[in-house]
Amino acid sequence: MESPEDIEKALAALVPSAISEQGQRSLDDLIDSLAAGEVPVAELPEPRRRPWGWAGGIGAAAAAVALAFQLPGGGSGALTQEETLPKTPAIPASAGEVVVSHARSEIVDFAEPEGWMSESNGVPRRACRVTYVNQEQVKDMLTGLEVKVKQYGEDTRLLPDNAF
Amino acid sequence: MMKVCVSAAWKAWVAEFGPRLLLFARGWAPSREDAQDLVQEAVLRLWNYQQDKGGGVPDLPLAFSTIRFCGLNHHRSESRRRKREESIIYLNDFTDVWLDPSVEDDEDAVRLRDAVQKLSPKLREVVTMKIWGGLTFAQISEALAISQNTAASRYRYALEQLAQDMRRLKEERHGIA
Repeated sequence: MESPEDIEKALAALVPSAISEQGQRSLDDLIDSLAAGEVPVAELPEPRRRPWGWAGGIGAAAAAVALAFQLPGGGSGALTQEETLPKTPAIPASAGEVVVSHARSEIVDFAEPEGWMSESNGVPRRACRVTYVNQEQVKDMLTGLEVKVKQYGEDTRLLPDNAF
Repeated sequence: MMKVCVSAAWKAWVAEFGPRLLLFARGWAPSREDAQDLVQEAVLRLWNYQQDKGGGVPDLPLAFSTIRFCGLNHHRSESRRRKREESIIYLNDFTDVWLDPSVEDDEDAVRLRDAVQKLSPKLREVVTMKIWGGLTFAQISEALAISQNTAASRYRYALEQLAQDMRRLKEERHGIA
């Protein structure tokens, strides 16, 4: 077993072990469920650009912060904030919308190529490991309080190979 | 009736190719159980993908590619340091799924299996797809999004490296004897 050809033959003689009985059963159950239409269709995960889904949480957090400042007896912070309230409270952008986001940005701190990866359909994508900071500025339209929220993250992003 | 036929076809497909897919998935998972989960996730995605194409069983290259995609997704949320640690664990802990235990009495086969485990992931995945997946270099290049030449080069390089390892081990054995 010294030449690559010998190695190839020896490798071919080795056999991968089977899926466990439990694993096979689980797969069979999955297939039965899929055939019966019982399992919800799972989309391929959106490989790229994380949308501003996190902004909802941030907005809620900002709203909570803003609300805390408005609560009676909200502590010294509330008093300090009251002093900075605009003389004429701003009008909410729309009915029921008190906290409004008015500036969003994403800053990529660091990006490192990770070679080529492919989607499940075989479409090649250039992979890049990025660390980023998502930043959003929200404003409480009643009090005028503005909060800047930063979220740090790390992600692998797949870029189309023809995009520069 | 149609659903039963489709279901039977997929089960037969999983029964035939499951071990190969599991072996490939093991390169992306820290344990046999996780590898099986990866195969299951891939089957789910493949099923949905195939629905637009009549619902038949998928091509093997697509299955390998999907497992790789699922494996990458699985690791995406983890830090690079953790990934490196896990890859070391994989190499030390591959015997649970790598190859048929019936070869245990064949010393050369066991040594060769160990040598395969020590290949770099890039080389190992090409060897796995070529030898046990039965894919052509064209199919491998499609699944891994690399050129055919690169796929063939990695394969040749892997075989040469394995041959070299086996020669060295043989010499060591003779030296000891």
